[in-house]
Amino acid sequence: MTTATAEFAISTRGLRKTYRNRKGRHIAVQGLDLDVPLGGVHGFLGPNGSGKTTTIRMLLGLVRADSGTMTVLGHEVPKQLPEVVGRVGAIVEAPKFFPAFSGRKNLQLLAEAIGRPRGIVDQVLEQAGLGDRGKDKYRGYSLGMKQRLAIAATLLKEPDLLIFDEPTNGLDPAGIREIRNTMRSLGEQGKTVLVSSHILDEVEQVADTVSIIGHGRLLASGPVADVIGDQTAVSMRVGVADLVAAQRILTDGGLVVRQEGGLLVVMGTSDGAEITQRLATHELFVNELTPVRADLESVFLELTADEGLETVGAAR
Amino acid sequence: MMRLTRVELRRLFSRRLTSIAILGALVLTGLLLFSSYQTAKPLSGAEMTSQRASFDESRRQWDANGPQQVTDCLTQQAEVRKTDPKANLGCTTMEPKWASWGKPVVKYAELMPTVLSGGSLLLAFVGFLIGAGFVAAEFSSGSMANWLTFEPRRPRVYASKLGAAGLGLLPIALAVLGLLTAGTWLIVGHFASTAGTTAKVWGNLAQMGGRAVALAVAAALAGAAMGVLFRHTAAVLGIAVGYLVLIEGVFRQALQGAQPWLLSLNFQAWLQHGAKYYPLVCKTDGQGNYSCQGVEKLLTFGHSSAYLGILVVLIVGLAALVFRRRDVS
Repeated sequence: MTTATAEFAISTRGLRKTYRNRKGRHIAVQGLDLDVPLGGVHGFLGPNGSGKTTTIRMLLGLVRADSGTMTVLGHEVPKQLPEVVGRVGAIVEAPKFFPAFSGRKNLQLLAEAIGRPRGIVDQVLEQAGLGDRGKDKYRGYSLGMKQRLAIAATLLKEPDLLIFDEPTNGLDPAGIREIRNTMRSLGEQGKTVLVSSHILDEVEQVADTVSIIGHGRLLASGPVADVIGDQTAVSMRVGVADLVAAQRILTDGGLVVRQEGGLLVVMGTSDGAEITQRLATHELFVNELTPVRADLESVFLELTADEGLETVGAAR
Repeated sequence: MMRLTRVELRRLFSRRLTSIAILGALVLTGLLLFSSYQTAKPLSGAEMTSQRASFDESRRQWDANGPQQVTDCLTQQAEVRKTDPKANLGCTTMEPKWASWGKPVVKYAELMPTVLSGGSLLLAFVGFLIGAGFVAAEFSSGSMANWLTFEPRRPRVYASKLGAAGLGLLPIALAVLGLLTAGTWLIVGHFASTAGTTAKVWGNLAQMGGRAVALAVAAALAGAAMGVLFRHTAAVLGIAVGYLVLIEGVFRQALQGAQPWLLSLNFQAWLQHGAKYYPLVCKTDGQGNYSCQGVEKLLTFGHSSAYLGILVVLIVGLAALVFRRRDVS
C-alpha cells in the first residue's frame, strides 16, 4: 500500500467506524472515500456529528477503524504511522496539555520525546506568538493561547501535513482571524493543511479545496469555488420600484421569481449582472441586489436530497 | 524507548503530586523515626520514680505474703501436673526483681525489622499513589491523545510510562529506607544499644530492604497500570481504599479461610520472609457450647512471592492489552 511518492496527502477508502455504548451502536463513519490533495488548505466540512473528528482520530491512530484503508503522505496507517508521524502535526478538538506545567515545559517534553533539540521550543513559541508567555502555566492560558500553543506543538515536528480539527471553536474574532491567517500562511508555504470545520464561511475563506461529509459519507469534493460556490449562492434578492413589472420581465426570461416582503427573490441563480441587464433594458433600475447564501444545513439538504440517506447516530 | 522513559521520568518528577507524595513520605519517615526514638529512649526521672515506687510496693507485699504465695502456687502446680506433668506455673520466679521493672534496653537488631516493615508499607502506598496519578492524569486531562500524535507506538508509550513509574520510585525508596536505617541506628546507638548487629543481621536487613524496594516498585507499576485501566486517579484510589476498608477491614473477620489471599498478610510474608497468622477455627462441643480458637498457620515466603508476582503481572498485562486496543478520545 505504501507508495514512494504520494498522490494525495490523505486518502481513505471505505473507511468505517461504529461506536458501541449502552444505548446501542451508532455509525460515525460509513464507507468514507476521502482524498486530500498535496499542498494548500483543504477544508473538511460537515455539521456536528458528521464524522469529521472520528475520521481525523482514525488517521492519527487514536481510534481504530472497523474497516477500510487509509494512507497519510503515502504511508498506510495505522500500520505505518510511526514512519510518517514525524511529518504530521495535528490538533484534535480542543488542545490538551498538562495543565500544571508551563507552555514551555509542555513543549520541551514533546520535543524531547521526538528527539528535537530544546532550542526549537523557544523558536516555535515565538512563531506562535507565545514568546513572552511560555513560562506561564498552561491552566492559566486563554483559549486562544491554548490554541496557539497547540499550533506551536505541531511545528515542533516541521510537518508536511497539518491537521486542525475545529481550530477556531470558542475563539474571539481576533483569535479566529489569527488562526485563519496561520492556516493560510502554512498552506502558502507548500504544506498541506487539513482543516475540519462546521462553518461554511471559514472553509470558504481559508481553503483551496474542500470535502463535504455528512452522515459519515463523502457528499462532495473539489475546489472550493466549484463545490461550495455552486451550492451556496442559490438565489438573489432584488429591490426595484415596480415589483410586478420586474417579476413579469424576469419570469418571461425563464427565471423563477417570487415576491418576499418588498423585494423579489430570484431563485436558482447567482448571476446579478444578468438580472440588472434584463431589468435595465425595460428601464427598471435595481436599488438592491443581494446574493442569498445558503447556510450549511441548506447545503447539506441540497447535497443529500437525492441520496435518501438513512439516519445514523450523531458521532464526533 | 530510553528517550521516552527519560522524558517520562522528567515529567514524573515535575509533577506536583509526586512532590507532595515525596514530602508526605519524608514526614511519615520522620514519624517512624520519632516512634523509634520513643521506643529506644530510657525512662525519664519521673517515670523512674514512679517505677521505683511500684517496685517498692510489690516488694513490700512480697515480704508480707511472698512465702505463702509460693506455697499456694506450688500446691496448685502439683495439682495441675497430675494431668500435665510438664506444667510450670512459674512459682520460683514470683519474687519481684528490680530488673523486671523499668524498661528493657532496646537493641537495633530487634527494632530495625519492625521499622523497616512500617517503612515498606509506607513506600508501597506512596509508590501506588505516584504510579496511579502519573498515568491517570494523562487520560483525565486528555493529554494522552496529544502524546500519541507524537509517539503512536502504544506498547512503547505504555512501557515508558510504567518504566518511569517504577524507576522513579527507586531513588525515593532508597532515600526513605536509607533515612530509616541510618536514623534508627543513630537513635538506638545514642539511647539504647546497637550491640549484636552482626554481619548476619545486616545481611538480613539488606535483604528485607531489597524486598521493600521491590514491593514499592511493584506497587508503582500496579498503580500505573490501574491508572491506564480506570483513567482517573480518584477512581484508582477509591478502589484501593474500598479494598482496604471493606475486604481488609469490615469483612476480614468473615474471611477467615481467605486470609492467605489478603494483600496485607502477603505483604507481611513477603517482607518478613514468611508470616504467621491465626485464623479462627470454631466448633461446637458435646454440650452444645460454641467456641472459636485461633490456630497458628504460616504463610510462606514462596506463597506471597508467587501471589503478589502473579497479581502484578496480571494487572500490568491486562492494562497493556487494554491500552493497545482502546480508542483514545
